[in-house]
Amino acid sequence: MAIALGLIGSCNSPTVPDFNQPGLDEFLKSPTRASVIAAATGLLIGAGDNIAEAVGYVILTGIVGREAYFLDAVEPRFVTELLIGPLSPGGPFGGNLWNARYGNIRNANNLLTALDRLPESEMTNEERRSIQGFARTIKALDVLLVINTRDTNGAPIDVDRPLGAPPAPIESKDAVLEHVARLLDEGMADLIAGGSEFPFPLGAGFTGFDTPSTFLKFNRGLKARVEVYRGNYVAALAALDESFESSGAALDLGVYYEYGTGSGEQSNLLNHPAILAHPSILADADRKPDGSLDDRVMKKTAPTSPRTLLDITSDLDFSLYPELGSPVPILRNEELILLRAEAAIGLGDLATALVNINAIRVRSGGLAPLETLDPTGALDELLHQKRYSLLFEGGHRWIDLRRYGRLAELPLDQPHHVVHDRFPIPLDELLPRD
Amino acid sequence: MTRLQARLFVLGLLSWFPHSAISAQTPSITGIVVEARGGAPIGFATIAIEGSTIRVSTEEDGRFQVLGAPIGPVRLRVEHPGYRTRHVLIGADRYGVRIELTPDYLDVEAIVATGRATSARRAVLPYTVALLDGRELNRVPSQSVEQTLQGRVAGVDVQSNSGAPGGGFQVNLRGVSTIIGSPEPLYVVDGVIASNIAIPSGQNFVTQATAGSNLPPEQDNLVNRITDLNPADIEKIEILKGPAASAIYGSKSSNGVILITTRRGRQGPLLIDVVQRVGVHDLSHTIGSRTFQSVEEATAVFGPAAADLYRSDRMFDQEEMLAGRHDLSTETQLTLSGGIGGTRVYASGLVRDDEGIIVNTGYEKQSARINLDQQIGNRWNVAVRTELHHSTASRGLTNNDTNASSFYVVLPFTPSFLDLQQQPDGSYPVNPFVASASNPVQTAALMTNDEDVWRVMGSLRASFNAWHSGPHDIEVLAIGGMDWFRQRNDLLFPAELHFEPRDDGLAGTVIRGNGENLNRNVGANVIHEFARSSYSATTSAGLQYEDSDLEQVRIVSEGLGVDPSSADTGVRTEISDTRERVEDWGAYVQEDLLLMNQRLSLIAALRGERSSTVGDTEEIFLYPKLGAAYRWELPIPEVDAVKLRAAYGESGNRPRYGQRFRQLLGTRVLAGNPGLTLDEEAGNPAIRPERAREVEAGVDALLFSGRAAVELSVYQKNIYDLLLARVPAPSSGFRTEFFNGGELRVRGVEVTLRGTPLQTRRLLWESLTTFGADRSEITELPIPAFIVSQGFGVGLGAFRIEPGASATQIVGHDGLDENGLCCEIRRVGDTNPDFRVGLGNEIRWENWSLYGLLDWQSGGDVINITRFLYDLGQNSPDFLSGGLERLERVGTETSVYVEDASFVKLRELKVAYDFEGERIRDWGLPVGAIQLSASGRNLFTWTGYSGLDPEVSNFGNQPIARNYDVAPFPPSRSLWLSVAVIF
Repeated sequence: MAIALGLIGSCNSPTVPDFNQPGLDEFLKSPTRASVIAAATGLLIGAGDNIAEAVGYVILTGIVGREAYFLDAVEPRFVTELLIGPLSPGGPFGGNLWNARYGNIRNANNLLTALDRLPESEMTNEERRSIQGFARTIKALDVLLVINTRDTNGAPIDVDRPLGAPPAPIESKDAVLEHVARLLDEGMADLIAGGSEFPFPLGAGFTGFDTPSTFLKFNRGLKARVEVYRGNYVAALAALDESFESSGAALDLGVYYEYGTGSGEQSNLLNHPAILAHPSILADADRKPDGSLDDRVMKKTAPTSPRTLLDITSDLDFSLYPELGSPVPILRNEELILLRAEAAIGLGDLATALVNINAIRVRSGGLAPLETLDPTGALDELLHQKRYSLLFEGGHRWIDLRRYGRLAELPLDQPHHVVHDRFPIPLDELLPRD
Repeated sequence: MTRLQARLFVLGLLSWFPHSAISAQTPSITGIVVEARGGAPIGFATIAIEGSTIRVSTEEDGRFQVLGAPIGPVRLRVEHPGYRTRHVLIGADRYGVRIELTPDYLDVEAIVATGRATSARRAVLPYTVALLDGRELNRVPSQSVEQTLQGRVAGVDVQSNSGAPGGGFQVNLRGVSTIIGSPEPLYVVDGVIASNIAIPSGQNFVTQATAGSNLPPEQDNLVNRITDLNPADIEKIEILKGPAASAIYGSKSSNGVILITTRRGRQGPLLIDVVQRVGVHDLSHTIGSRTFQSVEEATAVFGPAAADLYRSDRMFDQEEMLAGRHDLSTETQLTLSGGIGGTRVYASGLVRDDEGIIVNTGYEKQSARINLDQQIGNRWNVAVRTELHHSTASRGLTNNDTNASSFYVVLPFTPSFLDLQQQPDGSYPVNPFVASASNPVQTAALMTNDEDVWRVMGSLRASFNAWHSGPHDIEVLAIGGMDWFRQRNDLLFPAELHFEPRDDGLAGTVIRGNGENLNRNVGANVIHEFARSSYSATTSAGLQYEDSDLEQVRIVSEGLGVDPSSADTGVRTEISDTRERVEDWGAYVQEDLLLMNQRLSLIAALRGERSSTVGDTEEIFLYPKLGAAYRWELPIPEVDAVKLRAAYGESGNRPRYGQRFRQLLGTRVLAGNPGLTLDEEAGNPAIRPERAREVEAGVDALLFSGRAAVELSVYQKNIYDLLLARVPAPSSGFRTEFFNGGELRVRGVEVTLRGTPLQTRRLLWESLTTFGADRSEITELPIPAFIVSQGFGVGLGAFRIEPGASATQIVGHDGLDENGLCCEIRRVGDTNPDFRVGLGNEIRWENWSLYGLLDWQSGGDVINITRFLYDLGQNSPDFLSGGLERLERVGTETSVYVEDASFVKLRELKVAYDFEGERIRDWGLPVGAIQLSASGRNLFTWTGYSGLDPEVSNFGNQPIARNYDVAPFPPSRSLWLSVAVIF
């Protein structure tokens, strides 16, 4: 036996490399310019994950916010869990909208780590700063999307730990939003020092925002949203001033998640035949001076043959995302204008609010401008405009109503239905802490 | 005292004669060896004079002569495969000796492998090795070799995953032995490892059963490739059920080893055997659907659209429409076998064409084999084995689906008043009741899901008798071989299918998959045998190199132009390419001792291995084995011999390729630019093989003058260092990390009873009864209890691995918890059966024979999600009397869809009539024998299970998460008429 073992011991050790994918440790320990650039593109790809999937951010937040339905008998949990409840923290509905975000936060952290170890000869300091600013901004967006769904359940922040380390503590909603704001500010500093060009392409979703200085305007726009969420209206207005908000520019000006149909590209699956619009969108819509419906309703929805499941029926379809390559908005000028109105209302400046709300009413809805805005109705009007302007773009209605304690205003299709105010922390996140 | 016992008693006395009494003089012995029943001569039987080195064999006519036999009484050992070995005392009368051999119906004398290069009689083995001969396997036609094992061996549980043509069976030896590792036993064909991997077809791109591109598409109704072997070529199958027997196969063998030996040419003139079969497959069970009594009832469920379609006098049996096909299937087999001088040839050809019960489904198989054995001089023996195989399996579109395209995912939502058949104008009705508009009858008629396989297997075995001197024999044995196959999957879902544009906005999908695997083995062994008349010692040692290399390429293309479409015509394409290569080095030494006149048997072996799959490729892993058996030949009434045995062995289960790598994904693209993203599945650079330790003990007895044999075994397997997937908090970005830890214990008992209850000159009744039961328990788990990844959430029943519980338990909701919240999570079932029993009986009366094989599974549970779908569609046959209540309860009571999987199946039934010898010659036919037979497989199933078939696995071969019933391919029975002619 000793001889036999000696024989196999003396053979070359049977080492087979990884034929399929690049190694993580190699990327972290000896990054190259090419691998860092690919990782920066990867961060953009990861940001679009779990957004436009058939069980993703837009549809799930759209359903709990009573904007959308998914009516297919083959998968009744879109109704039983999201509308009737409860949300199951261990399942693919209640436990969703978490993993992909933290996966991409890890992508951002890996990219930042690799940048630190990238030899000086590979990249200029300006290029490095531009990538850092990009990475921190995208990371902030991902953290924001996590806390949007978990709200007062909180979320972990300090997650850049080695695999096997104890999980990061779950922090309060306020701490998480503060973390997002801080990341955006750090990103701003990086972007200011980031020179005139990114060393990697940002793709069609960032057209017009693909240099450090223009990307900064997106960073500030996001900051404005966060500050409005935090109730810091002065800071929000300051951020809006540095953002791409413009009453003169196109309302669709902004940044988008990009989808495609090529090999390795993520597709937008929101054109699923089972996805329908909530009938209240029609019922609650404003009328134009000629008596016809708000332009936004006509633009974003279309009638279809009725579908029924579990005593819910809809004959209204969305026409927002007709293609597998349809982009999904991350942040648009239209939202920024409304954020200015919202901040103004928060500060009691109803005149500014009226100007901005009317800008949206007229330009986006084809509606008559309002003459006045009274203090009690101002918020109602703002939320109404936000609902139609940001319809089915990522749970804005649900998040906005929640912030003002108005979730009870959402319509229930059946008396036993409920409105979820937040998603639970996923079971897998809690188990390692027991 | 029977004659046999008397003889054994005499022999026992004889063995006390001192050896010195035998002198070296050389008178000869002559005689004939014949079959005890019928008296037919037995050619090529081996006759050895015990206590000497003299061996001769009989001529074709059964006659023999021995030159140089010692004087005085001698003891002859007469052996022939398939007959019980006889010891005959030859006294003064040395000429014209007539020796009758009894067929070894009980296989107690059969020779089975004890190591890589050694073998021994079963009668002396320290552990059980199940043995099946080719005759048993080929009574009734089968599509797959695993099918032929069903119900035959205690402790061997063979379950079909669905009724789809072309294979897909899981073989479990002695219960569960891993949680996330490979559940497959090792298949060794003629000394070479044969691949049993399963390559997904890619249908998941249409069904979207497994969402997310990172997960393996394991719901594709996969075929594990051992199915390619032609059962007709099999001489015997030896099954090493656990580590106590299989340790010498090291880290590939903790699930057991199945050794397959193909047929070799028989000595003598060429025999040509032709079998022609004609048969039919028949849908053996349907679910049925709800009968709607009025248009109001119909519209209440299916909405206003139902009003136009409903007619009280019109009902369609949609399952029959879909799966009621009865086209004729055929099989033609040709075998040639013969040998002269030192050459033996076996050759075979097979052409099989099975027509499935669903249109456009079926299994076509052609194979050819040539086996050549050549003796070169006195010292060299060379054996060549080659097989060429081609098959095409057309498997329809079944199993889970989230796009409403799979047949039995659509039917639950399709009322019986909707006509799905093709209309006179050639169109198929649109199904208005599912979002996809899918019509399964249209889908079946127009789609393609073909799996085309070419396979070449070959081996070369050369043995050299290096040295022979007195009691010493040294043999060098080299074995090399390869197993190559290419699997091509062609899937086409043309644009005109109703569901096609609706599933993803793109009309038409084409999927082309190409999987190629090459296994190569080389090994060299040295065997030293030291034999005296009362004891022998065999020492063997060897070195093996084994590798495998698998590449899978797949192109998916959606949004097709005009038909016919190739994969470059689509609007949206997805390309994937993976390669997995494994290299292993192994060495072993083994000692087989037979002492005290073959009464005491000892086996010890040690194997060492290095593998590319483990983290530290320098490390040598050792796998020992030890066994002892003692056999008494008892002169007591009704008991001929009793053997006590005990054995211990260790074996392993390698990590899968890639489990040692921590990687990024370079597969994703944004706007034409490659991106690097995190692979959320983290490999572990310290991963090791799982290690199974088994203790087996048992009693074997031969009873009633060789009329019955009983084998009783108990075993305990402890599997340490389990391959597990830790779930880090997902806020780390990772979803899983592989590691070793924990312990699983399996205890079981197996009983095999073989006998010939009736044995006269005209009548022979052979009977086989097997019983097997095992229980598993997770005895240690270093991570919190977890749900295995295959499944649909706890609410519908999931598999939870937790300490103290059965590894295969199903947990689910069981009422509200103490706070009135949903729900208490408790055990609601277990897939592991309480026990399994097999009953095989063959009765031969003159030229008639009748054979039946019953397979009984008692207990075990199935998660019947198909029934849940029918209930959701308010369309189950018992919806008003049961389904409604089930739906109301399922929110808090998972058990309403967890059903008992007990069944009794008539696996095989055959009636045959043999025309022999003179009678045929009287007809002037140039043939030796003709057999006419009628046979059937899975003809009847008795079960309380409400679904299509309690044998089901939506996720294919799985160690844990089996028995998910999600829209499977419906089961069928097959019925055959056969003519076999021997020239």
